[in-house]
Amino acid sequence: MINRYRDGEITSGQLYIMIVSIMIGTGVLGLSRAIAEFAQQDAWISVIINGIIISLTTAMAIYVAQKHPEMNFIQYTAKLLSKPIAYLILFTYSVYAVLSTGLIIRFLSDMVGTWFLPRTPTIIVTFIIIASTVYIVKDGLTLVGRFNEIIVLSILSFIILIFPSLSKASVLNLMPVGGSGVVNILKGVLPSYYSFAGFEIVLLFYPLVSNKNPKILKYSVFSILFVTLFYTITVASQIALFGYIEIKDILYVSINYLDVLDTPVIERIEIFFAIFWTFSVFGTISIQYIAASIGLQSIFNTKKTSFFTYLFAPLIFIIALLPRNTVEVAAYSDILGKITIFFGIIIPVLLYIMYHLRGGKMKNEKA
Amino acid sequence: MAELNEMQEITKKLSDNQQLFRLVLKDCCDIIYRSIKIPLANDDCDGLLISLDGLVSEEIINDYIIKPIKQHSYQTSKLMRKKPDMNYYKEIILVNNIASSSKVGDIILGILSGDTILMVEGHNTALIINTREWDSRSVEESNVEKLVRGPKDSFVEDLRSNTAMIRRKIKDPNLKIREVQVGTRSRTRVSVIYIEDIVNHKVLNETIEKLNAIKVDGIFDSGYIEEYLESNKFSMFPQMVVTERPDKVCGNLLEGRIAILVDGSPDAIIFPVSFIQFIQSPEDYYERILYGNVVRIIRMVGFLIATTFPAFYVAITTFHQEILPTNFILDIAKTRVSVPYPPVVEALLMEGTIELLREASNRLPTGIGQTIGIVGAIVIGDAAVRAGLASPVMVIVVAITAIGSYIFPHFSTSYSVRFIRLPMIIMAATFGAFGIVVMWVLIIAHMCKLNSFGNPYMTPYAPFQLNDLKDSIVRFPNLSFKKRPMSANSRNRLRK
Repeated sequence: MINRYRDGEITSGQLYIMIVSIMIGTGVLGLSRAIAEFAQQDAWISVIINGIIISLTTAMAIYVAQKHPEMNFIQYTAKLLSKPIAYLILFTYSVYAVLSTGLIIRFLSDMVGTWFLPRTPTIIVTFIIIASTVYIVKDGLTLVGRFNEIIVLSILSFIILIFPSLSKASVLNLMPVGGSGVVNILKGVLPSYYSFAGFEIVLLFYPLVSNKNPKILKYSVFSILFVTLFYTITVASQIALFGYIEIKDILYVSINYLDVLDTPVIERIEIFFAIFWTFSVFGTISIQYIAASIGLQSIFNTKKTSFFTYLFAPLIFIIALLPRNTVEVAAYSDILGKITIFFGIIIPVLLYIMYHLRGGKMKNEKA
Repeated sequence: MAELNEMQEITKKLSDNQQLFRLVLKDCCDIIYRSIKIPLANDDCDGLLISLDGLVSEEIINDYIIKPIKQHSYQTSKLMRKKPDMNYYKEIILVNNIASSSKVGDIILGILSGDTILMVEGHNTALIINTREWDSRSVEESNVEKLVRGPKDSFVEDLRSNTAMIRRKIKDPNLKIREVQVGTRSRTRVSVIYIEDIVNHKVLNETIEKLNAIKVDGIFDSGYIEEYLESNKFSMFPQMVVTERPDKVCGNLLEGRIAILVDGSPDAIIFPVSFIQFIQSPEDYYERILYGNVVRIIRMVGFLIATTFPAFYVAITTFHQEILPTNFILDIAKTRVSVPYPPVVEALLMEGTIELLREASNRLPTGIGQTIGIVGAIVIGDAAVRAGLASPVMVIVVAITAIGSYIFPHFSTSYSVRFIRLPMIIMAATFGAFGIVVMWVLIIAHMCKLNSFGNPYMTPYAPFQLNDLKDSIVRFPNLSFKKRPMSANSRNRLRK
């Protein structure tokens, strides 16, 4: 069969879309509550600060990867940080990715239980989600990339759905700008970071881009800034509507945000939001799942990812069923969120520094 | 019949040859053996014409084969003072397409295709004279793909007329028509049509290879070829465009795609294609641009309605009544009071009825078929509502869905919609809106995995092709089409 695209490779466009798709997912629901607890009316500033930090680390990660065009993640990490550490990092990343896939799936099935199917057991919903995810993921990264190119369109609906309720919002709720203090704003950066988690896939996926070009760095940063902008607008408009005091008592702000307006014919728009949100979470899950499979695949140096995809399925199923209730899911997610700081911030910075230390040495040797 | 050796050659002795053909074509009452005496100066010579009654033109045989042989032979042989060879007969027969062969296989195939064979005593080659003429449907307006504006002609069953229609639209020496014979018994001529300097040769070579590898007794429609060439036969989505319209074929050829025509079939198949082409019709390009774009959007909405609308209704009435305003949902509930079963049974029942009606009205003669279809739907719908077997809202939903599924430019695409709709209803009945989401996730994943001769099915959306977006759900003005679409996999991307 003729194939214009090699198996397991993605286009640069698919990389940007996957960055957007994995970041906008579960976090969007409770984002503004989590940040407003610390940063109050200035939560949106925390989001922007966080976005800038993440753009920087992403740029560092891609910069290092661009300097090793022929190598995959494990090869250049081994070169910069020695082999055992590289394997250790990738292995822990795969474990993290599996855990996080399981938790997102559990979170999704809890939400499905809340919105759509209150009487259906979680185990059944979880099973269906995992079965469909395996179907998406089993044919490798190329198809996950394509799948997300379609699924990412559901984010458009999130953007559109911001507008209807704006008529009831008041800018006064955002005043005074900067009034909560620098310390509080900085405290809000950490919870907003959790919603951005997932962008660390660039470490793993960049080497798999088939049409590598210098622009990838720029556009990847753009896609992160796009997500930042989206989150900033979301948070700002939600605080403008509810005010930061009220927002602390709302569990999933994005849902209640749509509830304030009466619309003709369709009484509750939020069910449409829920539908599109489910779509986008499927995108997130598929990327996190394939990232786990690719991680282990490059450790064991096998040809296909499908073996690991099937291997992970029962594992993820068990992980998804471990938490006893939504509170525990949130608690576990917090722990995982802290781990992503390691992959999202520390590793890129470490690689960047090591590259400059070692790179300098190599130049000297050559000279 | 003795096992026929295709490579066997005929002999110089006419009586032996005649015996051979009579043996091979034993019990074929429609074969005509016409012995003629060829008058020559020194001696008369025996000749034999073999033709198949019904596939040949009597007029050509009488006036342009037998007549010149009888009239000229004597005179010229007198002048030449020797026995004329086969080339001589080639000269005097007034038909423009004559081949010669000595292989029994070729000759038999010629006879069965409507050629007339001339064999002469003392020569071990035979002339295969083209006398093909048979009754065929004349070119009519397409029944399946009707257009309001644009050319009205459509393909017929005769391969030559079809290729001629394409030739008439593209006068380019680079337009190639290659012929492959498929079917060990039916020996059907299959034409592969492409434009040499645009087409992707990898795709072309693979096509020819696959066609040559087909092992089957007979081919009676391009549908057979489609099935042999498709890489995913069990998918509900067609991976090739089927069309009756020469203009559609030509447009696709110019984009670098390959078309296949099969003798005896009025349907051409075109590949490689992407999903978006199934909602495009040639009319979109002929009509004014705004109108054409609106129609395309309507078709896309039709696709969504045909796949999801009944499922959505079932999901709302079963699980998510709170979506609709209270009095609206109460109205729906009131109409459903007398219905003794859940909405999903109602939906499946009505869908089943519609499918029955559709299938039945296809088989009936045209005039009656339409009447029965409409009347049947009204009568059954109305009666079902009165009897309390279905609610009026359900009838409306099913009717809109049925209309929505006919919105595709080519009828056979609408079959794929049914295979989405029924599972969708069942998923919606079991899992509500979540079921619909899961179904769509699976369908999108499946569509992303499909490919049509190496071209990803969801182009230009996945993989994203900015240039190809100019001609997707909406189209840009024709002026802006400077490059050929990526989905055609062409090697010469600039249009000129």
